Amino acid sequence: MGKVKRAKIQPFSSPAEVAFDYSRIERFVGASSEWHDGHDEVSESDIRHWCEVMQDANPLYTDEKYAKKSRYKGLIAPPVMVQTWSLDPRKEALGRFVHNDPPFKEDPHNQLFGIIDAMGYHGVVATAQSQEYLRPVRPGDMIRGRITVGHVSKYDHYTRMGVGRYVDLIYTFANQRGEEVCVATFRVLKYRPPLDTRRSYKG
Amino acid sequence: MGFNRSEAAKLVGKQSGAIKALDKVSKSDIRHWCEVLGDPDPEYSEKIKQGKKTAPPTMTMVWAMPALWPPGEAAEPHEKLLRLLDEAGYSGSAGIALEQEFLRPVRLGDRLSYKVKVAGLSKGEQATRMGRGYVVDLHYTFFDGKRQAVSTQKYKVLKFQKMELPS
Repeated sequence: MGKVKRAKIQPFSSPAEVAFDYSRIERFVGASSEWHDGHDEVSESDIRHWCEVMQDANPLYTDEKYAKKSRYKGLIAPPVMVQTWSLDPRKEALGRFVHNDPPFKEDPHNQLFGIIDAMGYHGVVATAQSQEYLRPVRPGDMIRGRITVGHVSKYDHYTRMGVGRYVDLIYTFANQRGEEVCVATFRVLKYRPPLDTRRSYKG
Repeated sequence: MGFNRSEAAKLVGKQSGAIKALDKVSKSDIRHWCEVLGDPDPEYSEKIKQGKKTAPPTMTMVWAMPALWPPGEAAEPHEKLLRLLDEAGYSGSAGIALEQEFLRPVRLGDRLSYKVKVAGLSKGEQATRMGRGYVVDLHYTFFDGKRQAVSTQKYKVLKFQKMELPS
């Protein structure tokens, strides 16, 4: 009997192997993207839909009479909805999450993720988020946003997901008058997954 | 709980009062609708940009959708009938026929209202592939902000007993 040929099992990417070259991404740290407009104006119907599915009965969002008497002097949008107004339309969302073809490729954070992916850290998991609200958002406003790369870990972190680096993104949202309404931070872990998970999603 | 057919039969032929749509006709809802239907949208967004402000006519039902939350009382005849069927175990719903007629364009910013008439209820329980159930005929009329009819709609819905899945 001949020897059975076995497929060679590739070892899990070893943390000892230096794969991440910080000097290649240093120029993106602190860089901001252009302002990107939302796709819709803040609308009362979208606010009502959100309140319906979140089961939020706060009259400040839907009851005009009540809102006028409040210190906001009129209807406001739920502050947490700030990112809703600039969410990708369907085609762009599929590009971003399925076809590896995100919109706004020239944005610093997208270029940064492209380089980090190519270095083998193509796993991604969101690990922390914070939002600070500066001004109320009202129906009829047009919210635009931009993304700044805040910080990238200089050293590898050893996590349950794999070896990875944290990337802090700072989102700034402003209304049509250029007044900032919200500053949000979003921290993701870019890690080296033991299996190429992205490949298994494709198709 | 059994189905009280005589009580249900009393509701046949009755029309609801004017029910106000929950939202005004809005640009963002039109964009969402075009997005999920894969409508490349050469007409609507262009017309809206030019200020002609016309909404897709087939969206009339969208503006008139009842809220998922908070749960309301069944006040109108068609709501009562559907509630009766639900409580009698016919909790499944399947739309089986829809006929729409469009009379006037729907304008952005309008708040539609609608009336629903219970036009029919099948004589007895029908055996279908989905399960045993009743067919309810509902006739909708939609009005714009000026109380002019914009669309009529005949909707047939099968309320059926959901089959038990073998465990």
